[in-house]
Amino acid sequence: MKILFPIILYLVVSLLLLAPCALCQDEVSGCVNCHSELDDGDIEAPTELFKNDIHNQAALGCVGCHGGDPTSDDEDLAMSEATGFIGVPDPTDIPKICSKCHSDPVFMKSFDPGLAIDQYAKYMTSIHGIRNSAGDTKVAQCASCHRAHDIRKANDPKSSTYAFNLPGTCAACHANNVYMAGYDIATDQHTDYERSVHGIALLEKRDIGAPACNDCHGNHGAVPPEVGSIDKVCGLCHANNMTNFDQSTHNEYFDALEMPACETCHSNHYVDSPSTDILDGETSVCAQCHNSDESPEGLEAADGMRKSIDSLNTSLTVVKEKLDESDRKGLFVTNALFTWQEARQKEFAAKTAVHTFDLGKVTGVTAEGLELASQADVAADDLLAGYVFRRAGLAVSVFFLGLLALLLWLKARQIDARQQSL
Amino acid sequence: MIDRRSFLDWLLGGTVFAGLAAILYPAARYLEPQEIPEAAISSLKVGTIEDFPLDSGTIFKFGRKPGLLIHDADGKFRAFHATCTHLSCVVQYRKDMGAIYCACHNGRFDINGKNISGPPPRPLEEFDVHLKGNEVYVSLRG
Repeated sequence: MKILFPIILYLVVSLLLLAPCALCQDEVSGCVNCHSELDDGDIEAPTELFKNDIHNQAALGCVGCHGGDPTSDDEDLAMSEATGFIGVPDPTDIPKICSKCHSDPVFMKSFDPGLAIDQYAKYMTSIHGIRNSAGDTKVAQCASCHRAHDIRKANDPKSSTYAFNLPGTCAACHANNVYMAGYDIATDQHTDYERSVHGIALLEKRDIGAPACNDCHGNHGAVPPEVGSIDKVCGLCHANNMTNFDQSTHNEYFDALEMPACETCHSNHYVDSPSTDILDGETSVCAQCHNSDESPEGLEAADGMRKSIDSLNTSLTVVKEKLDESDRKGLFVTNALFTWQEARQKEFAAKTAVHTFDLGKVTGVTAEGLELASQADVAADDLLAGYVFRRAGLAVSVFFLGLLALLLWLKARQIDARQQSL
Repeated sequence: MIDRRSFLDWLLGGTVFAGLAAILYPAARYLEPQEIPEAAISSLKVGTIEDFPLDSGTIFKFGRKPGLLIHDADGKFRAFHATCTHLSCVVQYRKDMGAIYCACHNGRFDINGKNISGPPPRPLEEFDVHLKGNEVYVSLRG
Protein backbone atom coordinates (compact mmCIF):
# COMPACT_ATOMS: atom_id res chain seq x y z
CA MET A 1 0.00 0.00 0.00
CA LYS A 2 2.88 2.28 0.86
CA ILE A 3 4.31 1.69 -2.61
CA LEU A 4 0.98 2.16 -4.42
CA PHE A 5 0.17 5.54 -2.85
CA PRO A 6 2.90 7.59 -4.58
CA ILE A 7 2.12 5.92 -7.91
CA ILE A 8 -1.57 6.79 -7.63
CA LEU A 9 -0.69 10.32 -6.52
CA TYR A 10 1.66 10.70 -9.52
CA LEU A 11 -1.04 9.52 -11.94
CA VAL A 12 -3.67 11.86 -10.46
CA VAL A 13 -1.35 14.86 -10.59
CA SER A 14 -0.32 14.02 -14.16
CA LEU A 15 -3.93 13.81 -15.28
CA LEU A 16 -4.75 17.13 -13.63
CA LEU A 17 -1.79 18.80 -15.32
CA LEU A 18 -2.61 17.36 -18.72
CA ALA A 19 -6.31 18.13 -18.50
CA PRO A 20 -6.17 21.74 -19.83
CA CYS A 21 -4.18 20.69 -22.89
CA ALA A 22 -6.49 17.79 -23.49
CA LEU A 23 -9.45 20.17 -23.43
CA CYS A 24 -7.72 22.51 -25.90
CA GLN A 25 -7.04 19.65 -28.25
CA ASP A 26 -10.69 18.63 -28.01
CA GLU A 27 -11.67 22.15 -28.83
CA VAL A 28 -9.50 22.16 -31.96
CA SER A 29 -10.39 18.71 -33.06
CA GLY A 30 -14.11 19.38 -32.59
CA CYS A 31 -13.99 21.83 -35.49
CA VAL A 32 -11.19 20.09 -37.34
CA ASN A 33 -12.85 16.68 -37.21
CA CYS A 34 -15.72 17.87 -39.38
CA HIS A 35 -13.99 20.48 -41.52
CA SER A 36 -11.12 18.20 -42.49
CA GLU A 37 -13.57 15.69 -43.96
CA LEU A 38 -15.46 18.15 -46.13
CA ASP A 39 -14.74 18.19 -49.83
CA ASP A 40 -15.05 21.95 -50.04
CA GLY A 41 -11.46 23.17 -50.34
CA ASP A 42 -12.17 26.58 -48.85
CA ILE A 43 -13.51 24.97 -45.72
CA GLU A 44 -11.08 22.09 -45.57
CA ALA A 45 -7.86 23.99 -46.30
CA PRO A 46 -7.71 25.90 -43.00
CA THR A 47 -7.58 22.64 -41.04
CA GLU A 48 -4.34 21.70 -42.79
CA LEU A 49 -2.83 25.20 -42.62
CA PHE A 50 -3.70 25.55 -38.96
CA LYS A 51 -1.41 22.67 -38.02
CA ASN A 52 1.59 25.00 -38.32
CA ASP A 53 -0.14 28.03 -36.87
CA ILE A 54 1.48 29.54 -33.79
CA HIS A 55 -1.92 29.61 -32.12
CA ASN A 56 -2.41 25.90 -32.65
CA GLN A 57 1.03 25.26 -31.20
CA ALA A 58 -0.02 27.26 -28.14
CA ALA A 59 -3.10 25.03 -27.92
CA LEU A 60 -5.44 27.86 -28.93
CA GLY A 61 -8.24 26.72 -31.19
CA CYS A 62 -10.67 27.96 -33.80
CA VAL A 63 -13.21 29.31 -31.35
CA GLY A 64 -11.02 32.27 -30.35
CA CYS A 65 -11.61 33.91 -33.72
CA HIS A 66 -14.70 32.18 -35.09
CA GLY A 67 -16.75 31.59 -31.95
CA GLY A 68 -19.04 28.56 -31.74
CA ASP A 69 -18.99 25.51 -29.52
CA PRO A 70 -16.39 22.95 -30.63
CA THR A 71 -17.49 20.49 -27.98
CA SER A 72 -20.93 20.05 -29.45
CA ASP A 73 -21.58 17.11 -31.74
CA ASP A 74 -24.56 18.94 -33.19
CA GLU A 75 -23.38 20.88 -36.23
CA ASP A 76 -26.18 23.43 -36.02
CA LEU A 77 -25.62 24.02 -32.34
CA ALA A 78 -21.83 24.15 -32.67
CA MET A 79 -22.14 26.92 -35.28
CA SER A 80 -25.12 28.80 -33.91
CA GLU A 81 -25.41 32.44 -33.00
CA ALA A 82 -26.23 31.33 -29.50
CA THR A 83 -22.70 29.97 -29.13
CA GLY A 84 -21.20 33.16 -30.51
CA PHE A 85 -20.37 31.69 -33.89
CA ILE A 86 -19.47 34.39 -36.41
CA GLY A 87 -18.13 32.31 -39.29
CA VAL A 88 -15.64 34.12 -41.51
CA PRO A 89 -15.04 37.46 -39.80
CA ASP A 90 -15.69 40.63 -41.73
CA PRO A 91 -12.34 42.31 -42.58
CA THR A 92 -13.38 45.36 -40.60
CA ASP A 93 -13.88 43.20 -37.51
CA ILE A 94 -10.60 41.29 -37.71
CA PRO A 95 -8.40 43.90 -35.95
CA LYS A 96 -10.80 43.98 -33.02
CA ILE A 97 -10.97 40.17 -32.88
CA CYS A 98 -7.18 39.85 -32.80
CA SER A 99 -6.80 42.68 -30.31
CA LYS A 100 -9.09 40.92 -27.83
CA CYS A 101 -6.07 38.81 -26.93
CA HIS A 102 -3.15 40.71 -28.42
CA SER A 103 -3.92 43.93 -26.56
CA ASP A 104 -4.52 42.15 -23.26
CA PRO A 105 -1.24 42.26 -21.31
CA VAL A 106 -2.37 39.73 -18.71
CA PHE A 107 -3.54 37.21 -21.30
CA MET A 108 -0.51 37.64 -23.56
CA LYS A 109 1.88 37.32 -20.66
CA SER A 110 0.79 33.73 -20.19
CA PHE A 111 1.72 32.89 -23.78
CA ASP A 112 4.48 35.19 -24.95
CA PRO A 113 5.58 37.76 -22.38
CA GLY A 114 8.04 39.29 -24.82
CA LEU A 115 5.48 40.11 -27.50
CA ALA A 116 4.35 43.74 -27.84
CA ILE A 117 0.70 44.46 -27.10
CA ASP A 118 0.41 47.78 -28.93
CA GLN A 119 -0.23 46.41 -32.41
CA TYR A 120 -3.89 47.44 -32.43
CA ALA A 121 -3.15 50.93 -31.10
CA LYS A 122 -0.52 51.41 -33.77
CA TYR A 123 -2.73 49.92 -36.45
CA MET A 124 -5.43 52.46 -35.68
CA THR A 125 -2.92 55.24 -36.43
CA SER A 126 -1.98 53.71 -39.77
CA ILE A 127 -3.52 54.47 -43.13
CA HIS A 128 -4.68 50.87 -43.21
CA GLY A 129 -6.33 51.11 -39.79
CA ILE A 130 -7.98 54.45 -40.46
CA ARG A 131 -9.49 53.18 -43.70
CA ASN A 132 -10.44 49.82 -42.20
CA SER A 133 -12.27 51.43 -39.33
CA ALA A 134 -14.09 53.62 -41.88
CA GLY A 135 -15.43 50.47 -43.52
CA ASP A 136 -12.90 49.85 -46.28
CA THR A 137 -12.70 46.07 -46.55
CA LYS A 138 -9.86 46.07 -49.10
CA VAL A 139 -7.13 47.64 -46.98
CA ALA A 140 -4.73 45.48 -45.07
CA GLN A 141 -5.82 44.14 -41.72
CA CYS A 142 -4.09 41.56 -39.54
CA ALA A 143 -4.86 38.55 -41.71
CA SER A 144 -3.74 40.32 -44.89
CA CYS A 145 -0.13 40.29 -43.73
CA HIS A 146 -0.03 37.50 -41.17
CA ARG A 147 -2.41 35.19 -43.06
CA ALA A 148 -5.46 33.68 -41.42
CA HIS A 149 -4.65 30.06 -40.60
CA ASP A 150 -0.89 29.75 -41.05
CA ILE A 151 0.22 32.47 -38.71
CA ARG A 152 3.85 32.16 -37.67
CA LYS A 153 6.15 34.25 -35.57
CA ALA A 154 7.83 37.04 -37.52
CA ASN A 155 11.23 35.42 -36.92
CA ASP A 156 10.06 32.14 -38.50
CA PRO A 157 11.59 31.99 -42.03
CA LYS A 158 8.29 30.60 -43.31
CA SER A 159 6.32 33.50 -41.90
CA SER A 160 4.77 35.92 -44.38
CA THR A 161 6.21 38.70 -42.24
CA TYR A 162 9.75 37.31 -42.08
CA ALA A 163 12.17 39.90 -43.46
CA PHE A 164 12.85 38.08 -46.72
CA ASN A 165 9.14 37.48 -47.33
CA LEU A 166 7.78 40.83 -46.24
CA PRO A 167 8.31 42.80 -49.48
CA GLY A 168 6.33 40.12 -51.31
CA THR A 169 3.60 40.27 -48.68
CA CYS A 170 3.20 44.02 -49.10
CA ALA A 171 3.49 43.70 -52.88
CA ALA A 172 0.58 41.29 -52.97
CA CYS A 173 -1.64 44.36 -52.77
CA HIS A 174 0.64 47.30 -53.48
CA ALA A 175 1.99 45.94 -56.77
CA ASN A 176 -1.46 44.96 -58.02
CA ASN A 177 -2.72 47.64 -60.41
CA VAL A 178 -6.24 46.32 -60.43
CA TYR A 179 -6.52 45.91 -56.67
CA MET A 180 -4.99 49.32 -55.98
CA ALA A 181 -7.15 51.14 -58.53
CA GLY A 182 -8.96 53.94 -56.81
CA TYR A 183 -6.34 54.54 -54.11
CA ASP A 184 -4.35 56.99 -56.20
CA ILE A 185 -0.94 55.63 -55.24
CA ALA A 186 1.78 54.13 -57.42
CA THR A 187 2.18 50.38 -57.77
CA ASP A 188 5.83 50.28 -58.81
CA GLN A 189 7.32 50.39 -55.31
CA HIS A 190 8.17 46.71 -55.23
CA THR A 191 9.72 46.78 -58.70
CA ASP A 192 11.82 49.77 -57.66
CA TYR A 193 12.71 48.21 -54.33
CA GLU A 194 13.82 44.92 -55.90
CA ARG A 195 16.51 46.68 -57.95
CA SER A 196 17.53 49.07 -55.18
CA VAL A 197 20.64 48.59 -53.07
CA HIS A 198 18.36 47.65 -50.17
CA GLY A 199 16.29 45.18 -52.18
CA ILE A 200 19.37 43.51 -53.66
CA ALA A 201 20.94 43.25 -50.21
CA LEU A 202 17.83 41.70 -48.68
CA LEU A 203 16.41 39.60 -51.47
CA GLU A 204 19.53 38.54 -53.37
CA LYS A 205 22.37 38.72 -50.88
CA ARG A 206 20.07 37.54 -48.08
CA ASP A 207 21.31 40.28 -45.75
CA ILE A 208 18.76 40.04 -42.96
CA GLY A 209 19.87 43.45 -41.69
CA ALA A 210 18.86 45.24 -44.89
CA PRO A 211 15.63 47.21 -44.69
CA ALA A 212 12.33 45.81 -45.89
CA CYS A 213 9.16 47.90 -46.29
CA ASN A 214 8.34 47.96 -42.58
CA ASP A 215 11.73 49.32 -41.57
CA CYS A 216 10.91 52.66 -43.19
CA HIS A 217 7.12 52.70 -43.10
CA GLY A 218 6.50 50.94 -39.81
CA ASN A 219 4.55 47.72 -39.68
CA HIS A 220 1.36 47.99 -37.67
CA GLY A 221 1.48 51.77 -37.80
CA ALA A 222 2.32 51.85 -41.51
CA VAL A 223 2.33 55.34 -42.93
CA PRO A 224 4.39 57.03 -45.61
CA PRO A 225 7.25 58.94 -43.92
CA GLU A 226 6.52 62.66 -43.82
CA VAL A 227 8.87 65.09 -45.51
CA GLY A 228 10.29 66.16 -42.15
CA SER A 229 10.92 62.65 -40.89
CA ILE A 230 12.59 60.97 -43.85
CA ASP A 231 16.10 61.72 -42.65
CA LYS A 232 15.18 60.25 -39.27
CA VAL A 233 13.96 57.09 -40.96
CA CYS A 234 17.09 56.72 -43.09
CA GLY A 235 19.17 57.86 -40.12
CA LEU A 236 18.20 54.72 -38.23
CA CYS A 237 20.97 53.02 -40.19
CA HIS A 238 22.76 55.93 -41.85
CA ALA A 239 23.27 57.83 -38.62
CA ASN A 240 26.38 59.80 -39.54
CA ASN A 241 24.89 60.84 -42.87
CA MET A 242 21.84 62.11 -41.04
CA THR A 243 23.90 64.00 -38.49
CA ASN A 244 26.03 65.58 -41.20
CA PHE A 245 22.97 66.58 -43.18
CA ASP A 246 21.10 67.95 -40.16
CA GLN A 247 24.08 70.16 -39.31
CA SER A 248 24.54 71.39 -42.86
CA THR A 249 23.15 74.51 -44.41
CA HIS A 250 21.20 72.37 -46.84
CA ASN A 251 18.95 71.19 -44.02
CA GLU A 252 17.24 74.55 -43.62
CA TYR A 253 16.92 75.08 -47.38
CA PHE A 254 15.36 71.66 -47.82
CA ASP A 255 12.94 72.43 -44.99
CA ALA A 256 12.05 75.80 -46.47
CA LEU A 257 11.43 74.28 -49.88
CA GLU A 258 9.61 71.29 -48.32
CA MET A 259 11.98 68.91 -50.02
CA PRO A 260 12.45 65.51 -48.40
CA ALA A 261 15.99 65.18 -47.11
CA CYS A 262 17.45 61.89 -48.38
CA GLU A 263 14.84 61.14 -51.02
CA THR A 264 15.59 64.24 -53.09
CA CYS A 265 19.04 62.91 -54.01
CA HIS A 266 18.72 59.17 -53.45
CA SER A 267 15.09 58.49 -54.43
CA ASN A 268 12.86 56.43 -52.15
CA HIS A 269 12.13 52.86 -53.15
CA TYR A 270 14.83 52.77 -55.80
CA VAL A 271 17.88 53.78 -53.78
CA ASP A 272 20.83 53.03 -56.00
CA SER A 273 24.19 51.78 -54.80
CA PRO A 274 26.24 54.76 -53.57
CA SER A 275 28.28 56.15 -56.43
CA THR A 276 30.01 59.43 -57.15
CA ASP A 277 28.11 59.56 -60.45
CA ILE A 278 25.36 61.47 -58.66
CA LEU A 279 27.88 64.29 -58.07
CA ASP A 280 28.86 64.54 -61.71
CA GLY A 281 28.43 68.13 -62.90
CA GLU A 282 25.34 69.06 -64.89
CA THR A 283 23.93 65.54 -64.58
CA SER A 284 24.39 65.45 -60.81
CA VAL A 285 21.50 65.37 -58.39
CA CYS A 286 22.76 68.75 -57.23
CA ALA A 287 21.71 70.17 -60.60
CA GLN A 288 18.09 69.78 -59.52
CA CYS A 289 18.58 73.03 -57.59
CA HIS A 290 22.00 74.39 -58.55
CA ASN A 291 22.78 75.54 -62.06
CA SER A 292 25.93 76.74 -63.65
CA ASP A 293 24.59 80.25 -64.25
CA GLU A 294 23.06 81.25 -60.93
CA SER A 295 24.80 79.04 -58.38
CA PRO A 296 27.81 77.38 -60.00
CA GLU A 297 29.57 76.98 -56.67
CA GLY A 298 27.22 74.12 -55.79
CA LEU A 299 28.09 72.18 -58.91
CA GLU A 300 31.79 73.00 -58.52
CA ALA A 301 31.76 71.69 -54.97
CA ALA A 302 29.97 68.53 -56.08
CA ASP A 303 32.48 68.03 -58.87
CA GLY A 304 35.36 68.59 -56.45
CA MET A 305 33.94 65.97 -54.09
CA ARG A 306 33.49 63.51 -56.92
CA LYS A 307 37.04 63.97 -58.20
CA SER A 308 38.46 63.72 -54.72
CA ILE A 309 36.63 60.49 -53.89
CA ASP A 310 37.22 59.01 -57.34
CA SER A 311 40.91 59.74 -56.97
CA LEU A 312 41.02 57.82 -53.71
CA ASN A 313 38.95 55.03 -55.19
CA THR A 314 41.29 54.72 -58.18
CA SER A 315 44.32 54.57 -55.91
CA LEU A 316 42.65 51.92 -53.78
CA THR A 317 41.85 49.85 -56.85
CA VAL A 318 45.40 50.06 -58.21
CA VAL A 319 46.96 49.21 -54.85
CA LYS A 320 44.52 46.35 -54.28
CA GLU A 321 45.50 44.82 -57.61
CA LYS A 322 49.15 44.94 -56.58
CA LEU A 323 48.34 43.44 -53.20
CA ASP A 324 46.27 40.69 -54.79
CA GLU A 325 49.13 39.95 -57.17
CA SER A 326 51.56 39.88 -54.22
CA ASP A 327 49.20 37.59 -52.36
CA ARG A 328 49.00 35.21 -55.32
CA LYS A 329 52.79 35.10 -55.41
CA GLY A 330 52.79 34.01 -51.77
CA LEU A 331 54.23 37.27 -50.43
CA PHE A 332 53.56 38.58 -46.95
CA VAL A 333 50.91 41.23 -47.63
CA THR A 334 49.40 41.44 -44.16
CA ASN A 335 50.79 44.80 -43.12
CA ALA A 336 50.21 46.45 -46.47
CA LEU A 337 46.71 45.03 -46.65
CA PHE A 338 45.92 46.36 -43.21
CA THR A 339 47.00 49.84 -44.29
CA TRP A 340 44.92 49.49 -47.44
CA GLN A 341 41.87 48.60 -45.34
CA GLU A 342 42.43 51.74 -43.29
CA ALA A 343 42.50 53.75 -46.51
CA ARG A 344 39.29 52.10 -47.63
CA GLN A 345 37.62 53.12 -44.37
CA LYS A 346 38.59 56.68 -45.29
CA GLU A 347 36.73 56.28 -48.59
CA PHE A 348 33.58 55.34 -46.66
CA ALA A 349 34.19 58.28 -44.35
CA ALA A 350 34.61 60.62 -47.33
CA LYS A 351 31.29 59.48 -48.79
CA THR A 352 29.69 60.14 -45.43
CA ALA A 353 31.35 63.56 -45.32
CA VAL A 354 29.64 64.43 -48.62
CA HIS A 355 26.50 64.95 -46.54
CA THR A 356 28.16 67.97 -44.90
CA PHE A 357 28.22 69.53 -48.42
CA ASP A 358 31.60 70.93 -47.39
CA LEU A 359 34.25 70.32 -50.04
CA GLY A 360 37.07 71.00 -47.56
CA LYS A 361 35.88 68.28 -45.20
CA VAL A 362 35.60 65.74 -48.00
CA THR A 363 39.03 66.49 -49.43
CA GLY A 364 40.49 66.43 -45.92
CA VAL A 365 39.29 62.86 -45.43
CA THR A 366 40.31 61.74 -48.90
CA ALA A 367 43.77 63.24 -48.35
CA GLU A 368 44.15 61.01 -45.29
CA GLY A 369 42.97 58.07 -47.36
CA LEU A 370 45.36 58.87 -50.19
CA GLU A 371 48.26 59.05 -47.76
CA LEU A 372 47.39 55.61 -46.40
CA ALA A 373 46.86 54.26 -49.92
CA SER A 374 50.25 55.65 -50.87
CA GLN A 375 51.88 53.86 -47.91
CA ALA A 376 50.19 50.62 -48.94
CA ASP A 377 51.30 51.24 -52.52
CA VAL A 378 54.95 51.68 -51.50
CA ALA A 379 54.72 48.51 -49.41
CA ALA A 380 53.16 46.61 -52.32
CA ASP A 381 55.86 47.88 -54.68
CA ASP A 382 58.54 46.78 -52.21
CA LEU A 383 56.98 43.35 -51.99
CA LEU A 384 56.84 42.96 -55.75
CA ALA A 385 60.36 44.39 -56.18
CA GLY A 386 61.61 41.89 -53.61
CA TYR A 387 59.91 39.13 -55.56
CA VAL A 388 61.56 40.22 -58.82
CA PHE A 389 64.92 40.56 -57.05
CA ARG A 390 64.68 37.05 -55.61
CA ARG A 391 63.73 35.56 -58.97
CA ALA A 392 66.58 37.42 -60.69
CA GLY A 393 68.90 36.29 -57.92
CA LEU A 394 67.82 32.71 -58.43
CA ALA A 395 68.51 32.98 -62.16
CA VAL A 396 71.98 34.45 -61.52
CA SER A 397 72.74 31.75 -58.94
CA VAL A 398 71.67 28.99 -61.28
CA PHE A 399 73.73 30.54 -64.07
CA PHE A 400 76.88 30.75 -61.97
CA LEU A 401 76.44 27.31 -60.45
CA GLY A 402 75.90 25.88 -63.94
CA LEU A 403 78.90 27.76 -65.24
CA LEU A 404 80.94 26.50 -62.33
CA ALA A 405 79.99 22.93 -63.14
CA LEU A 406 80.94 23.49 -66.79
CA LEU A 407 84.27 25.05 -65.91
CA LEU A 408 85.10 22.30 -63.45
CA TRP A 409 84.41 19.82 -66.23
CA LEU A 410 86.64 21.77 -68.63
CA LYS A 411 89.34 22.05 -65.97
CA ALA A 412 89.21 18.32 -65.35
CA ARG A 413 89.59 17.71 -69.06
CA GLN A 414 92.51 20.15 -69.17
CA ILE A 415 94.25 18.33 -66.30
CA ASP A 416 93.64 15.00 -67.99
CA ALA A 417 95.06 16.30 -71.26
CA ARG A 418 98.16 17.68 -69.49
CA GLN A 419 98.78 14.40 -67.72
CA GLN A 420 98.43 12.47 -70.99
CA SER A 421 100.92 14.82 -72.74
CA LEU A 422 103.44 14.16 -69.96
CA MET B 1 98.45 37.95 -73.50
CA ILE B 2 96.63 35.53 -71.27
CA ASP B 3 96.86 31.95 -72.52
CA ARG B 4 93.86 29.63 -72.62
CA ARG B 5 94.84 27.76 -69.45
CA SER B 6 95.28 30.92 -67.38
CA PHE B 7 92.00 32.28 -68.70
CA LEU B 8 90.21 29.10 -67.63
CA ASP B 9 91.79 29.29 -64.15
CA TRP B 10 90.83 32.92 -63.84
CA LEU B 11 87.28 32.23 -64.99
CA LEU B 12 87.00 29.23 -62.68
CA GLY B 13 88.15 31.27 -59.69
CA GLY B 14 85.65 34.01 -60.45
CA THR B 15 82.84 31.55 -60.87
CA VAL B 16 83.67 29.78 -57.62
CA PHE B 17 83.47 33.18 -55.91
CA ALA B 18 80.11 33.97 -57.60
CA GLY B 19 78.80 30.47 -56.78
CA LEU B 20 79.77 30.89 -53.14
CA ALA B 21 78.07 34.30 -53.09
CA ALA B 22 74.92 32.72 -54.55
CA ILE B 23 74.92 30.22 -51.70
CA LEU B 24 76.05 32.48 -48.86
CA TYR B 25 73.89 35.52 -49.65
CA PRO B 26 70.54 33.70 -49.11
CA ALA B 27 72.06 32.08 -46.02
CA ALA B 28 73.00 35.48 -44.64
CA ARG B 29 69.54 36.86 -45.47
CA TYR B 30 68.04 33.90 -43.64
CA LEU B 31 69.72 35.11 -40.46
CA GLU B 32 67.60 38.29 -40.59
CA PRO B 33 64.23 38.10 -38.77
CA GLN B 34 61.54 37.11 -41.26
CA GLU B 35 57.98 38.39 -41.26
CA ILE B 36 55.72 35.73 -39.80
CA PRO B 37 52.95 34.48 -42.07
CA GLU B 38 49.39 35.00 -40.86
CA ALA B 39 48.70 31.31 -40.43
CA ALA B 40 51.26 31.13 -37.66
CA ILE B 41 49.58 33.82 -35.58
CA SER B 42 47.38 32.49 -32.85
CA SER B 43 48.46 34.75 -30.05
CA LEU B 44 49.73 38.30 -29.97
CA LYS B 45 51.11 40.71 -27.39
CA VAL B 46 49.21 43.97 -27.88
CA GLY B 47 50.96 46.03 -25.24
CA THR B 48 51.18 46.59 -21.53
CA ILE B 49 48.33 47.46 -19.18
CA GLU B 50 49.56 51.06 -18.98
CA ASP B 51 49.12 51.44 -22.73
CA PHE B 52 45.34 51.13 -22.42
CA PRO B 53 43.52 53.75 -20.32
CA LEU B 54 40.40 52.70 -18.46
CA ASP B 55 37.16 52.91 -20.44
CA SER B 56 38.87 52.97 -23.82
CA GLY B 57 39.12 50.88 -26.94
CA THR B 58 42.19 50.29 -29.09
CA ILE B 59 42.44 48.85 -32.56
CA PHE B 60 45.27 46.36 -33.01
CA LYS B 61 46.47 44.26 -35.91
CA PHE B 62 45.83 40.56 -35.72
CA GLY B 63 47.13 39.02 -38.90
CA ARG B 64 45.31 40.66 -41.79
CA LYS B 65 42.38 41.73 -39.72
CA PRO B 66 41.83 44.43 -37.14
CA GLY B 67 41.03 43.60 -33.55
CA LEU B 68 39.51 45.79 -30.88
CA LEU B 69 40.82 45.66 -27.32
CA ILE B 70 38.53 47.21 -24.72
CA HIS B 71 39.76 48.12 -21.27
CA ASP B 72 36.46 48.71 -19.56
CA ALA B 73 35.71 51.09 -16.70
CA ASP B 74 36.01 48.22 -14.21
CA GLY B 75 39.49 47.38 -15.42
CA LYS B 76 38.54 44.25 -17.30
CA PHE B 77 40.01 43.55 -20.74
CA ARG B 78 37.96 42.20 -23.62
CA ALA B 79 39.01 41.75 -27.23
CA PHE B 80 37.05 41.16 -30.40
CA HIS B 81 37.57 40.95 -34.12
CA ALA B 82 36.89 44.58 -35.07
CA THR B 83 35.04 43.59 -38.22
CA CYS B 84 31.31 44.28 -38.15
CA THR B 85 29.24 41.17 -38.74
CA HIS B 86 27.01 43.12 -41.14
CA LEU B 87 29.16 44.39 -44.01
CA SER B 88 32.66 44.08 -42.54
CA CYS B 89 33.28 47.72 -41.66
CA VAL B 90 35.72 48.33 -38.80
CA VAL B 91 33.95 48.88 -35.50
CA GLN B 92 35.09 51.14 -32.68
CA TYR B 93 34.54 51.46 -28.94
CA ARG B 94 32.36 54.49 -28.11
CA LYS B 95 32.92 55.64 -24.55
CA ASP B 96 29.87 57.93 -24.76
CA MET B 97 27.66 54.96 -25.65
CA GLY B 98 29.44 52.38 -23.53
CA ALA B 99 29.13 50.21 -26.59
CA ILE B 100 30.93 49.04 -29.69
CA TYR B 101 29.76 51.01 -32.68
CA CYS B 102 29.81 50.50 -36.42
CA ALA B 103 29.60 53.82 -38.22
CA CYS B 104 28.59 52.30 -41.56
CA HIS B 105 24.99 51.44 -40.65
CA ASN B 106 24.62 52.46 -37.00
CA GLY B 107 25.15 48.93 -35.75
CA ARG B 108 25.80 48.51 -32.05
CA PHE B 109 27.25 45.77 -29.89
CA ASP B 110 27.46 45.72 -26.12
CA ILE B 111 30.87 45.42 -24.51
CA ASN B 112 30.50 41.66 -24.56
CA GLY B 113 30.32 41.86 -28.35
CA LYS B 114 26.63 40.98 -28.54
CA ASN B 115 24.72 42.72 -31.32
CA ILE B 116 22.12 44.94 -29.63
CA SER B 117 20.78 47.18 -32.37
CA GLY B 118 21.00 47.95 -36.05
CA PRO B 119 21.67 45.56 -38.92
CA PRO B 120 24.49 43.35 -37.52
CA PRO B 121 23.07 39.83 -37.57
CA ARG B 122 25.32 38.21 -35.00
CA PRO B 123 27.82 39.02 -32.23
CA LEU B 124 31.44 39.94 -32.83
CA GLU B 125 33.91 37.11 -32.68
CA GLU B 126 35.80 37.25 -29.44
CA PHE B 127 39.47 36.77 -28.60
CA ASP B 128 40.75 35.41 -25.33
CA VAL B 129 42.71 37.97 -23.36
CA HIS B 130 45.52 36.89 -21.07
CA LEU B 131 47.65 38.99 -18.74
CA LYS B 132 51.22 37.95 -18.10
CA GLY B 133 52.57 40.35 -15.54
CA ASN B 134 51.57 43.69 -16.97
CA GLU B 135 51.63 42.48 -20.57
CA VAL B 136 48.36 42.02 -22.44
CA TYR B 137 48.05 39.11 -24.87
CA VAL B 138 45.15 38.22 -27.12
CA SER B 139 44.70 34.83 -28.67
CA LEU B 140 42.29 33.06 -30.95
CA ARG B 141 39.49 31.33 -29.17
CA GLY B 142 39.11 27.59 -29.29
